[in-house]
Amino acid sequence: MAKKIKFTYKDRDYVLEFNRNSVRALEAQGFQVEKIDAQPDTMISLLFAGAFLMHHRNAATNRKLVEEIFRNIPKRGELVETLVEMYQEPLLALFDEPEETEGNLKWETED
Amino acid sequence: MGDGGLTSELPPSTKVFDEVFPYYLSIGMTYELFWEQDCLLVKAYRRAEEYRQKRINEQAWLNGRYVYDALCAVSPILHAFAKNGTEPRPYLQQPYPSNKQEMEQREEEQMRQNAEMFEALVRAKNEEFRKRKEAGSQ
Repeated sequence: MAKKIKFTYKDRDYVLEFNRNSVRALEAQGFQVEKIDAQPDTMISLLFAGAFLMHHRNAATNRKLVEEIFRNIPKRGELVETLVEMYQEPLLALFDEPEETEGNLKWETED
Repeated sequence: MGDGGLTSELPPSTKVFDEVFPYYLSIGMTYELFWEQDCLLVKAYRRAEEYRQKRINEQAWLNGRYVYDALCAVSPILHAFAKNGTEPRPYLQQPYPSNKQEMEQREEEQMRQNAEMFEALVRAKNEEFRKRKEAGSQ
């Protein structure tokens, strides 16, 4: 199953997720993941609204509601990181990951 | 990220989706499954396609093996200098077992048939021996 974000806002349950259609719609609106650092306001707003497209198409077009939810969400840094991962998932799923065998590059995270 | 570097040269995801979409259609995904459902489904479809290809390959191999058996069976009469009255060997009585269980069943069946034949042979020999004994005593 693809990565999802679930939350409840004003007694309504929301599931944020990306499928290929929502990624396509997002890119058609001008979203470019590499521009998040350069134009954070525009790109993050688009990304967040785009995450509603799959399960809450009506909410996604309600700019006021989406902005309101975004303002009320804690840990926004983590949220954006997760949204970027979720946004990339439909593309990355198209590529096979190399098996962890000898000879393949190993990597790890560092704090 | 940032304004430059590798990521800015990546093609938009949409372009990649459009390029690979016909392939996924060809392996059985529908428009809805590819564009609208769980994005990880493609992985399962690729695995399924691998299994399908493997099965097709195995079927082709099996087909070749049956053809080979058929050719071997008729080979005695295909011989240019075959003697008069040469008969082809019979073709396989039944297909190859398709799994281990079927193979074991066939082996058991073969053993049972062999045992029955042996039993019949012993019975016939005993009968023959008894008749000879009776003839000797008269």
